[in-house]
Amino acid sequence: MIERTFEATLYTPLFYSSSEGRAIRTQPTLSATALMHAIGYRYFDMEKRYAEFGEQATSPDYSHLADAPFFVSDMRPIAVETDERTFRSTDYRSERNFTTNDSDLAGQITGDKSVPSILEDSGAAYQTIRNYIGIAPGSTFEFTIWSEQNIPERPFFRMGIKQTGEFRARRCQQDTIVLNKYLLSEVYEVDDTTLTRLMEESESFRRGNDPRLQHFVGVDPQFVSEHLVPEVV
Amino acid sequence: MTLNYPDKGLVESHSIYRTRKPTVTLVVKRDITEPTLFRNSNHDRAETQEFGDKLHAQVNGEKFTSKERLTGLDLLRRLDDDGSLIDDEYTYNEPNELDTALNVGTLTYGLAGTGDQDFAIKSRVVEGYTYTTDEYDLMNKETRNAVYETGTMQDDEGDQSQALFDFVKVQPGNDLLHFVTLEAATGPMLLYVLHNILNTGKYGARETRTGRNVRNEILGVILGDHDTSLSTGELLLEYRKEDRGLTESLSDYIEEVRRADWDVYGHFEAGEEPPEWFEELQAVAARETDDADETLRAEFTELMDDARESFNLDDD
Repeated sequence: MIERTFEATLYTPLFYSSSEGRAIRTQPTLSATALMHAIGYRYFDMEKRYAEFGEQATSPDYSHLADAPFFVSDMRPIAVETDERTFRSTDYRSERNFTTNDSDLAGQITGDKSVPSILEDSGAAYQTIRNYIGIAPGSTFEFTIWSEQNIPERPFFRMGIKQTGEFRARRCQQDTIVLNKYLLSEVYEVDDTTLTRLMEESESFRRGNDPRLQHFVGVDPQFVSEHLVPEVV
Repeated sequence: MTLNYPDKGLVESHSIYRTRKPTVTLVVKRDITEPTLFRNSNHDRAETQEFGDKLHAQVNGEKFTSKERLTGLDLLRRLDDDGSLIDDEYTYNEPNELDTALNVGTLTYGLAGTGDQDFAIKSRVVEGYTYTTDEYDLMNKETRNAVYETGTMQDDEGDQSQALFDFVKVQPGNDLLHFVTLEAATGPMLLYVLHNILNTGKYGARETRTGRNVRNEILGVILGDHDTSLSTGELLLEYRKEDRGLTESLSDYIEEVRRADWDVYGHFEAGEEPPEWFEELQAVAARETDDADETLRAEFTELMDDARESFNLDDD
């Protein structure tokens, strides 16, 4: 098994919805599920579905990751700015932008007047704006990949909404391994005993407000390569 | 006339599921020919990004894709005589059913159904963020009278707007270098994207009133068995040198990151002379040949037949 650690530099703004709602916020730690897809599509012939229908088009499915011949850590922030705010969009409830002569309505939209508490009941005229808060170019991350087959010395990959986040990575010295609990427990179905061991072998466990934002931080590299990787790859 | 496509970089026929993903990257230089306003969260100017000591305007790739998609739809409507290329009912922002929404545009650039039927077609085209290659001068403002929220110069009482409003436009002479990548695309999809790039000349805010403000030029094309993606940000941050011109810096960049399976064509050091198939493809895409319309129609019909088969929509 080849174990390699990379430092990835981001060259464009990256937007990724770690949480959704009026503000689309991107957490500084980038999830391994996203990185698995980015690397998998490019370097491991992972199947890509260019069209999906019904339920599959609207809900995420990570089950195919379990068959991937490689495993990655989360992308740990080294030097990251998370205040890039470069675009806003209208919510799907109001696809049609509109201009209005109704000054009351205009007041509500610009925020001078309050809007009805239940937007869903308020008709199409209410425009809700989403703010995208992302990661600024120049930010750097560390990740480790375990695989039988090698990947290029300087891999290039894209992540995020509309694939706008462009990364180039280069080999570096391993510092800290951050593993994604969601990937391990829900996708790879790693049993509780191993997860408990993993927690003991980690410096800390970081909790988040979403199942996909739970991270094992500073995992002992030896434990990962000896016990965890053989189980998941 | 039948078109020749390269063996590399493209897939032979349309399919929904793919493991192999050969790619083509078009190196597009977008020359700014009239002052152009790109804006986002700031309504009076573009976003900026500092590379080296210089401030560059940063533009979301969507600002190009959306205009290019419309150019493509316009072409499909012009070429279509029997409803086989594009459905009469199709509106690009309210797609209801897959059956009526399927056309060369949606197959190439992707689409999500917003009506009763849930479906999602992934884009095969990636046009990422791009930046001006030269400095974006924030002091270079154009001042206008500001309008009211209603879009007029007068308020409810009929008073004339007194406030001033500044625009900071990207000035002629500045360029945007953009890498447009097609992943697992067929020949006709490449032809379609080329057509849209070569025939779109108006971008940014107020383009309907400012006229043609951008001229696109294809500097080169890169074919690969795998990913051939490049990043304008990486080019400007790591490879742009003052003593080397833009094409020289581009050449240095490609030379440095190229992989063994890449074929690079273009009029710069790292590239070979563009082959005949590409010159032909460009001429048809730019509609410079006499039989361009027939060729485009034939190519797109083939893609649509192919696609209907893979979507199981060919029974009706």
